[in-house]
Amino acid sequence: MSVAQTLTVARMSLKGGLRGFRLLGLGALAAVPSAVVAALAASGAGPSTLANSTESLFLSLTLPVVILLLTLVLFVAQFRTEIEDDTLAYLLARSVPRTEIAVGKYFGALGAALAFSLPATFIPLAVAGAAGAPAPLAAVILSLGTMAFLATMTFGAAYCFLGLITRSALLIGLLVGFLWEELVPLLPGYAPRLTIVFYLRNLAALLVPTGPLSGFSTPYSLPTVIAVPVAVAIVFLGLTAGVFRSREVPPGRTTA
Amino acid sequence: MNGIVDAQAVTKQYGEVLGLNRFTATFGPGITGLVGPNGAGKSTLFRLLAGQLRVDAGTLSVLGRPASTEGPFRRRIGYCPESPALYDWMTGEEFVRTLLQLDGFARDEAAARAATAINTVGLMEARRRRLRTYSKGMRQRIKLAQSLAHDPELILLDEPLNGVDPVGRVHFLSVIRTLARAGRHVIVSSHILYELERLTDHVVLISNGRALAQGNLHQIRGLIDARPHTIELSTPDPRGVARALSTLDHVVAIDFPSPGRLTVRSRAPDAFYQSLPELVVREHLPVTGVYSSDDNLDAVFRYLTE
Repeated sequence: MSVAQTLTVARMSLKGGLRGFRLLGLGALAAVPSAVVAALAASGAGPSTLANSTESLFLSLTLPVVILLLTLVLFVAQFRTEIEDDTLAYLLARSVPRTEIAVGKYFGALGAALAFSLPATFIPLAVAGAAGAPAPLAAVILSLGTMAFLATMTFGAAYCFLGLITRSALLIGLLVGFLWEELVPLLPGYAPRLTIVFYLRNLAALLVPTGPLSGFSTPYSLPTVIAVPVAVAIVFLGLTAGVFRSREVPPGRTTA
Repeated sequence: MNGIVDAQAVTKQYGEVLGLNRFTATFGPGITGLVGPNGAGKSTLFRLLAGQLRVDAGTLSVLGRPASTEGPFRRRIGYCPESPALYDWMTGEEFVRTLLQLDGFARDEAAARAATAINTVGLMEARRRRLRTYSKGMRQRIKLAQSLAHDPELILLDEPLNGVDPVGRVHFLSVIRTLARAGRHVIVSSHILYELERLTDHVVLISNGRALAQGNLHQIRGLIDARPHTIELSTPDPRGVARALSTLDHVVAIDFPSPGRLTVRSRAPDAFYQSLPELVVREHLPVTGVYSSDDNLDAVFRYLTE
């Protein structure tokens, strides 16, 4: 694999993801958790309430809504926008192998998504700290950062694949994100283990002994709860590269 | 199989729609025109040649290799797609340089090559502007720049003159001729037939996914010699002119398509062109314009597809 060509694709994807109205929209979305914490602080919440609320907010808003939405928008666009705009023809006309294009696009989008998801995760902690909340434990910071990174990486790989194979990627992505990842964890038995959120919440419980992040059962070890999302991301990235290698790019609607 | 591009019974289907239907043609060195209406299969052929589609049946070779060949071989081919879409957030310079880097050129060499190509298409002053601010003609030029920047042997230009202003067209055609003189092979499609006719005598006519004819334009004209040729005249007195023209024995039909115009169908165009000036002078005919559609590829194409 050519690292230089992969990096060129990644840079293109990163710059393409961080621009214009999309930049403003995703930036506003990423600011929502901080705004909620600021509102809580302004309402006179006490220091410990503020600290606990910030951690709870990550599990109830930042992870399942903010990170999921910004990941969906950025990763689906990697292939879908280029297919719809017919710009993919320029990339495929060059000698860069398709695997490099797929991998480069994924890592470019990952960089762009992390530029939003990590601030969406950590700035609320800073806002709470500025409002008088006690400094979070190192384990909390590590836990939140790891969850945000794994969620972005794993959902991103799945959405990248969806963007390649279907025009309805945004709709299907929303269904997967909001129905599958939100409702299935509520089911009894082993069903929750079929969701990514299950492993992320268990990761938090393994790393943080007390507080809102610790409130989940932990049937697996730390390496396992990290390995499962990573493996899912690798599988989806492999699927994306495999499908893209054989994908045809017919002329747009106006040409034939 | 001795052409730059050899297509033997190439078929490409999109579901139930045939993009190419047993298309057979050979594209030789230099400039070759690919002529056909929208939907004829021109862009499908280009995408096959650019390795972006796979042949369903038949064989298609480019520069002696199967068209589907990937990897470094693709650096031997430049492709300018028809679609006006670009990465609008990039500058012209960034666009060409980035695509060159995808071809494996180091950043500095890519930048130097991009500057040369952009200069060739006359966009140096606009090279640092975002592509979203480019006019349609400028977009065509930057597309041409990216297709030739890596110095390919074969350049595929899909409707490159679309949207280019008259002055730009002259420059565009000059660039294409220069490329051919430098030993590059160019396949250019167009339905702006007048410019294509000025660019090359070698054409392949395509319709409904099939090659109707190929070769020298005059040879193709030979295929249709048996058909009457149509000439259009503009005049303030169409009926008076028609009366005079009807005395010529090779004129087989005269129509009045609109006020101030008449079309004449002649079995012997050469004789018609010899007779017309003499007739106009002798009969004081008020003919203000002669438009011989038979002199351009459009008429050839229409005859072959009728």
